[in-house]
Amino acid sequence: MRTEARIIAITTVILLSLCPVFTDYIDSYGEETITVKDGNGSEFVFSEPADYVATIGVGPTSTVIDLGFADKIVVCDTYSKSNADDSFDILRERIDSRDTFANGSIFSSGRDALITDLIYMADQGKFDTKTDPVLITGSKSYVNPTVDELSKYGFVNILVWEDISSYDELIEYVRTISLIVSGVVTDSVQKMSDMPDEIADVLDSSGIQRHDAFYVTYSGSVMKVGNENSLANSMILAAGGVSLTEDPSKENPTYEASIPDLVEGKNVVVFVDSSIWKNEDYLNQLNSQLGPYADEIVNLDPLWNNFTIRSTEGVWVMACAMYPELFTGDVPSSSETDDDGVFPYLIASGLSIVVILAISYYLIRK
Amino acid sequence: MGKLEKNQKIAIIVGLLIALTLICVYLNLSWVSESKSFTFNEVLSALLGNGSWSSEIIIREINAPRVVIGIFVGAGLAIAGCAMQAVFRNPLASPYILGLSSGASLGAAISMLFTIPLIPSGILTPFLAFITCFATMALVYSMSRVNGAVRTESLILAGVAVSSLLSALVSFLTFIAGDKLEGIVFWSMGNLGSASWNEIAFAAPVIMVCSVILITQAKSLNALMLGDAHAMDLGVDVRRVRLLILLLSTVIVAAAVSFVGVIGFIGLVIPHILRILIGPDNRYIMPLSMVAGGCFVLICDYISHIVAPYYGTLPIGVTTALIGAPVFIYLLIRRKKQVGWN
Repeated sequence: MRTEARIIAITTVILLSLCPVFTDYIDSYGEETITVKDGNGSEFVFSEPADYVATIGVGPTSTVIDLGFADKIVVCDTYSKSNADDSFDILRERIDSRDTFANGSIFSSGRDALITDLIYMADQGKFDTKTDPVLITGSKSYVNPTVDELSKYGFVNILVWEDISSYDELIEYVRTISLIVSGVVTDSVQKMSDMPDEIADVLDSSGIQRHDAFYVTYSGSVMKVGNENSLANSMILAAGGVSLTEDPSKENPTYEASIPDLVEGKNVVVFVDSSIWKNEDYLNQLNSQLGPYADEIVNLDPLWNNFTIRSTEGVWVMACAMYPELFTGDVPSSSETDDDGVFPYLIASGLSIVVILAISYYLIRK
Repeated sequence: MGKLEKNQKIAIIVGLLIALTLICVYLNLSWVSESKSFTFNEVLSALLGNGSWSSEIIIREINAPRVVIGIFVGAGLAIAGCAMQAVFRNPLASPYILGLSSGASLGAAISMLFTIPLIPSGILTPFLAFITCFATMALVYSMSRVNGAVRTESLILAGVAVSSLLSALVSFLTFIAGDKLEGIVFWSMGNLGSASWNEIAFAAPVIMVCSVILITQAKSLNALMLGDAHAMDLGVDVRRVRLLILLLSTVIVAAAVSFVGVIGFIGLVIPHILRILIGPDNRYIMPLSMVAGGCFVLICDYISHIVAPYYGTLPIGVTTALIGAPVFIYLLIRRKKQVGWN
């Protein structure tokens, strides 16, 4: 009796512990409804994973591709079509074979073409306006007119993300897309969610001091650093770094700061986006402003802080850059390029002046 | 107005401008952020190499190049504008009248969208902007030649036409630019921070030499303002002087714009304001324009920094227009007479 009771008790415990798994499954697919929210907090209910999807913006397009569902994209924007990343090749093949249309954008000059693509696909039976989702990222001023027009033509499930300013929000965004296209939270999304905790666990158990770091971009003709509502800054925190540039008094996600003042006396890792690492001049400027205080300048891939699932990779690289003794991986970094010095410019100036004087003398002489 | 009075007036204006320039030099050199500035001693120490690491970097590598390029660009654009207004006998003439700004913008836009072999990316933008600026001037000049002669009206018309075409091309490139759009747009608004000591080593001597040569032609320009026939009667070789002025002005504009982008309004308004104050004699207006132009750019750069907490550091071209236009309107209304042209 005692043995039988023990067996029953153990079996009961095992069954009860499996309930959350089933509950999750039911939440996502068990009752065949998928309930998600977009960036504006609007709720959408899907009875099953979408057959087709329209992705407007590089972020949602890249996310759907990386989740393995590129074949469900029937309409995307022109910026997705022209994105240089290799992962978009599969999309370009679909566009070439006219399985996907990519003629428009949310901007006013491309909006008509975008609406036309969607209506055409709906008419061809390749997009259900009542059930298939349109996933859009962009600022309100461009997105709202697009949403209004799509709604006018009967498109129901229009999910919008105007801004994603933290890694947690990014996880929720990717999770939402994963549920919509697949019905489940895929392993890659789960990995994205688990990564900050895994990094933190390793850092805590090692007792290592957290590393100073910050993000720099070149925008509006000046160098700007990441604030607390910047996605890149949030990724630094997720990677276990200490951000030097969080300033609650400033509203914008990036702001102009005095970099030499910021770094003097510290050891920092600096993360730069392609606006800097692709430009020799800006890179040299940044290097001179960082002086001997930068341990490393790390190049951020454009898709790492651009509303995509690739941010997982970005967070890992950040951790590898800040804690190379604990995490291993390829860290793309920039080094100062050789400065030719002032002499070539002085020579060019001298030659120009000689030519100017010669021409002036010829024209002035009687 | 007696001669003594006019000289006194000029001396006062020069004194005020120099004082204002020195103040602005200090304010711009000492700038760190909206909540912090270096003291005079810290600025001096940094300039002499005895300051802290950050003060030396900020003052010598960030602020000082802005101040120096600002002075030369302001001086150059102002004197080029003065010369253009004399050559064209047109108070609306500016250094960009031949479509030079559109030409430089086209070169900059091309450099931001495409890579060109053998030219390092760091100098590609100023190099192409310089080349296209010159090419524009050559195109406009050749278009306006009729039977070997060039008339000012033809130059202006050709300048307008070419400028329209080049602006359309820039708009097209901006449209297809994608994520590089911001770079093109902000370049066209001007940015003093984009020039380092290397670029200043090229631009400053070139602008200075061209400006000095322009000043030597002040008397000829005074004659040109009376009309071609009168100028020829006074012994001026109109064709050669006009070509020289256009060439030198183009070099100044190209040297300035290729490194800092398009900064408008200086060449149009500064000579005007000075003519209202001291009359139309180019022997005084031209050198004074240089001082006033440099000073004006420094004032605008400081204002661009002050508003940074609200909007970020404003592009210098935006500030020069926002500040200069109301001042000019005020002077026009106050004087209620022709702007010292005759």
